Amino acid sequence: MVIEVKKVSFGYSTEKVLHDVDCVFEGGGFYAVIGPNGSGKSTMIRLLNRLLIPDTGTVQVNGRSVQDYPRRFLAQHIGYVPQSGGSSANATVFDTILLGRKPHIKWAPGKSDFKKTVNIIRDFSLEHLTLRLTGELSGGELQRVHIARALVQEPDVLILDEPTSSLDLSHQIEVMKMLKEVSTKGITVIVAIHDLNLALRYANQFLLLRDGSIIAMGDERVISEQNLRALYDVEVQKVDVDGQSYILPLLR
Amino acid sequence: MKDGNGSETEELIRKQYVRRLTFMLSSLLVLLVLIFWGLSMGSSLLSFSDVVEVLTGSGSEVSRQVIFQIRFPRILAAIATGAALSVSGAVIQTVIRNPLGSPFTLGLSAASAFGAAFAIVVLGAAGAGFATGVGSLARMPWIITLSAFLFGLICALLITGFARWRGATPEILVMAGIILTSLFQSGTSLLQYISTDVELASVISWMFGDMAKATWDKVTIQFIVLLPAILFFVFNAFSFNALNAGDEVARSLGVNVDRLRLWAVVVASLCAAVATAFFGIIAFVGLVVPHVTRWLVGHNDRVVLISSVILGGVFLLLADIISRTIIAPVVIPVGIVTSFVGAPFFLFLIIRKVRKSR
Repeated sequence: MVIEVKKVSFGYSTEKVLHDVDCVFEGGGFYAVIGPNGSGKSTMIRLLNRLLIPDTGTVQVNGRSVQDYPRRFLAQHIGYVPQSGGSSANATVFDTILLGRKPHIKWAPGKSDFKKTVNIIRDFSLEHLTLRLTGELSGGELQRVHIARALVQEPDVLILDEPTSSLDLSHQIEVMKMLKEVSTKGITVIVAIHDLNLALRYANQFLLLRDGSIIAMGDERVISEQNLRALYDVEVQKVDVDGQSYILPLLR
Repeated sequence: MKDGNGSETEELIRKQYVRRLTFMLSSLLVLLVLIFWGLSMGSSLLSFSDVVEVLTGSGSEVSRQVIFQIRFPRILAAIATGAALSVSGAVIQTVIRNPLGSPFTLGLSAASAFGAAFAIVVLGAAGAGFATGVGSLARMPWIITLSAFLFGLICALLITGFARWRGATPEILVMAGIILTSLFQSGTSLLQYISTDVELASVISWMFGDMAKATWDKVTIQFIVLLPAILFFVFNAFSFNALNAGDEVARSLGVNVDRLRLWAVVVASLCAAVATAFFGIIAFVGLVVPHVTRWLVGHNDRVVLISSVILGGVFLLLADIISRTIIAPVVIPVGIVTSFVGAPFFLFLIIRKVRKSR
């Protein structure tokens, strides 16, 4: 599934957040959308599955505008994990994950929907939490539940808004590893993310946004010291440790 | 990620399913017992054997008359009204995402009361005949009912129009409800101010929710509205669950959030408007029963909606039996009983919420 963003501008009330953005998300990649706070990352990814509608320009899925697809069709193909508040605190883990089957269900979940939910709960090692309320979970557990829900949707594309922002280091790595595994199965993963090193370690495509415009897009090479300086107004050094690149901010 | 056969989860879910089913069947059993109790209780006390005799086709003519013409319609009306108010309350709490929501949050009771007052004061539907229950205006109460229903409907349409205009967000719905409640209450006050003593008494008497107004016609209409409404709610229960996870998540799962919210408001209002138009204002059922239901069965809307239909029936039938028997032979309006139960519960709800947030 290919998602193309064509000359898209978007604003909340009078303030423009994105200006004439053009980019393409090819099937199967692991994309990291990077940029400072307020650069338009969350807006950008929410335009991809029609959570927001562009003021001008179009977002196309497989050559057709997202607005021409039924919402249910998009939901069958694009999963979404919001940054926060993605579930009712009073719902059980099982009921929350089962919701992911919604796009495939007309009225009520059937046997195969229950089976798929049971399987993903097992795959994500959440069995012991099956009947716990999501409001009682830790940040890491909750994020796993939300990703499990998006995956039980059986999407071709998985979009996540800062999936690691409220997690400790080990859970950040756990979630990114999980997403990497998802992308190796052929599902396109698109994350808005602040942590450059996690992005560099796990993603393979990068989109750099500043003030609502793309300043670079491409593979690891676009994460250059020069581009990052332009992005954040901060001096950084890209260092290599055991063949893996890391970004060090130079605090002067 | 690890391998396994998923049996732990399946076993937990199976047990939960059995628990929920047992709960629903037990509630139905309680309802059945209450129906029998309700048939035998009242100013003319019948024994259980009298009731069984009448139900099996024998029994005295007086018993038959009491059971089929007075008590059965009243019992069924109490069940339908309780079910309608509580399922509407459960749905409205979900769509406006507010635990203090009820059909009346959207201004329905105020609108219906205005409708009744309008019929009584402006159209002269009460008159002396209505006040004493005799005379040539015997059919006029239907005008009061019709007017109460029409204004309930107008209120629902205004809410819907407002939501279509400004977006069907929980905040817009609550605000529209507050505005309409205030507007209709002012209208009712004005009508009461210009009314005669007899009319004023009629308006106030209408406002007491009272199941004594039950007839077979009303019960039939109620069920004709209620049954498709329950089906609509239950068929959309999975979408309501998605809505509980937040609008954005619901949209990403393919739910047409605005359309669902609008239709839910319309159908819930219709159920509540019919009940209110027929029997007056019965407070707190739509608020209390959904909360009790969620405590008992959890927050899965499919289970909550079905259970609140049953428990709403149980609650109002029990309240009606109490209202008929507590100071018999005097029958107090059921709305007073539900308010006596509901008000302390409301307070408890607020205290519990404050404690939780500390």
